[in-house]
Amino acid sequence: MLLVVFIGISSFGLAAEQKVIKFAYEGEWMLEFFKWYTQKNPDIKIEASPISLADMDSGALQLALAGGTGPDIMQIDAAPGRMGMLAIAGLLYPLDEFYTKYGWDKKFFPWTLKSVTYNGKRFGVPSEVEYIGPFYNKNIFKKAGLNIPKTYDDFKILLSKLKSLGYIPIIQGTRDPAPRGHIYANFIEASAGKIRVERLLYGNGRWDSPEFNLGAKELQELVRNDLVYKECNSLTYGESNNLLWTEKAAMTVTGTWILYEYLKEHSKMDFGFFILPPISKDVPGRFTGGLGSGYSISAKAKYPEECAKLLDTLFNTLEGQKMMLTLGRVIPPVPILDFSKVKKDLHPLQTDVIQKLKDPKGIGYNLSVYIPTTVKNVYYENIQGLLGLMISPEECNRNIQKEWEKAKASGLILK
Amino acid sequence: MELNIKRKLHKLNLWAYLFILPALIFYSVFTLRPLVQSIILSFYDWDGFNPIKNFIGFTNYKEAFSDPILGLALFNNIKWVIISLILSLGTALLLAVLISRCTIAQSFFRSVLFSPNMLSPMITALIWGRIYDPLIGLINTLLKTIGYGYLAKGWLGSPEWALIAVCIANSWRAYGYYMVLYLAGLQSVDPTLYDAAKVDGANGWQEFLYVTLPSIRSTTTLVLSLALINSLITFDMVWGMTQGGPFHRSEVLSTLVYKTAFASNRVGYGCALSLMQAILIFTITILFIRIRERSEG
Repeated sequence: MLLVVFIGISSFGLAAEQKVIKFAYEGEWMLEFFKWYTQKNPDIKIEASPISLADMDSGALQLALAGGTGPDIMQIDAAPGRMGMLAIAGLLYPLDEFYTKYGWDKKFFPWTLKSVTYNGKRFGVPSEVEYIGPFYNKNIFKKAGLNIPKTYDDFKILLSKLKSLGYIPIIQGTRDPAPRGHIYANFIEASAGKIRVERLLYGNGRWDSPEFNLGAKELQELVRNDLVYKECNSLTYGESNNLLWTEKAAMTVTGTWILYEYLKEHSKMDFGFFILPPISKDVPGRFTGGLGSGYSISAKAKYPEECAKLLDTLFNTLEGQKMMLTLGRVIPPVPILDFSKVKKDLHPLQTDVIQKLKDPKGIGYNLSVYIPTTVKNVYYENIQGLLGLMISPEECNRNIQKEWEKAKASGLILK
Repeated sequence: MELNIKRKLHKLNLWAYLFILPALIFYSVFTLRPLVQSIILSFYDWDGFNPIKNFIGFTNYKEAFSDPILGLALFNNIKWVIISLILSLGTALLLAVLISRCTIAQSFFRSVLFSPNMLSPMITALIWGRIYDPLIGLINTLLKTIGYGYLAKGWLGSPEWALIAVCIANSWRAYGYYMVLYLAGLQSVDPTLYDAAKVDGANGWQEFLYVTLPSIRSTTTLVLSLALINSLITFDMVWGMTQGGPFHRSEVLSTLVYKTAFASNRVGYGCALSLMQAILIFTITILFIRIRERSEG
């Protein structure tokens, strides 16, 4: 419980007459940033405490925020079911004045701002950008004489070759819900493309349209042929990653958050990302992705000005960005101020990831972040059914569409 | 004189109430109040965040009666109850009888066999998750080693096996507790009954059937009702191992309630489901105890 967690906080800053900011953070690297920030700003004391999804799922965060005992700044999912709900409930501070003051509208990547905007107001700043695609073992590809596939047919040939060489071509830990969404959204992007997905999310598009069904069908075919590991529903995300690090599997569809684990423990291995080739001819092929989370300020924060200044320092100073990249291994949602000064401290894969973000085609949607929680539950369940060959692609998408219509009727769809 | 006694009694009652008070406060704050709140919330459409709650009457209950996932969860719960009762109670009774006949190292066996019950459900879920791992798990490795590799599968991802697999793991954790209860019951069996049975020419099986079982009837009633309630409210092991998957095949009432209220943020509907679950458990338990009492009577 957050209330309890705040008793065991880490404090930064020692001087008297300080303004206290309670910061609920996710990555341990933030503690280094807090230390640096309070040294630079002796009038600020930061009381830091870790936050997890469970704090919100259990209702502890909401209770603490409503009672005025919660954090002043918190890192939460920039999704309608998380940040959106807190915003609509009036528990978050609208940040529009700070967007104007610090010019954040121009600093943050424009596509990242949709996820922190609810009812036309900004209720957070993006914390990091992530993209999702096949994450592959370059050594296995090299040993097998395989190249990154350019077409979807090449991709299927590649998977068959990997299988014939005794590797699990694609491993995915779909006993956990999130990896189901990651692989499914990649296939939907490859079959329906960003414009159709946008039409679905913000217009009158349908989950059970032929283009969406095609992506689901192709994905299920790969499972049927054991090109995506047939027993993927038996494995967790961690278990599936272990098969990747032990070179039993050649790739997984995951996001750039894996960099933290990879660079911490497996950086000697050679891994990379590639874009899943398009299934439909009229689609260019993109990574999917979006925001992992965002930072919001409590409506009851005592020093919202100071909170905003702290966030601006994190994203818009070279020191803040450097700490994000080198300690947190996360990609800032803003252009890097002086890439030449940080490049030498980055792993080549990080540099590659940052370069790929500049792709003019942009990034497709990781659907699970953009759909309301009521739909997300049905979405995850049905993808598991699809991957377990328990339901047809059409049935899977029909079921999601049904829940989507209910959510639309209840006004839960993000605008 | 009479007045004095009354005063004393009154005084005594007051003391009694004072002693009850702390427990009553805890009970009211942490049990009664949430229960009443749940009943009230079940008539609302509420996401758990918004300050505005929409009163919708019995709509949540109507929806529950037409919810196919609820039907499936209920069916799975019944399957869970049956498998659990057979596995954990069967194992518990068998081991209790065997241990009670041990003349040496009885307390050693009792402690060792009880030890799985001391593990937290999440740790048990992790251990068994590894045992069921499709590639490096103990079960599949064993099957492959003895030439039955074709039987190997992803147990926790299998629509047919997921629920049974979790139930086996749960029974492994649970049997120790019931075993200790049975052991206590067995200690109260009059040993002369066994002597009499032996004189009448009864064999071991007949002794068990006609002496042991009837003598521990009240223990069995207690153990059965405990196991029944535990099975109907089971959550942690299912959540830790499959989260109700794949595609609801191991969904039970508690995981459905949790998903509805906290993952889908449908707190009102979640409350309605949890109340229906509570009524079901209450009814089944009362019915069971009544039936047992009648048969004993």
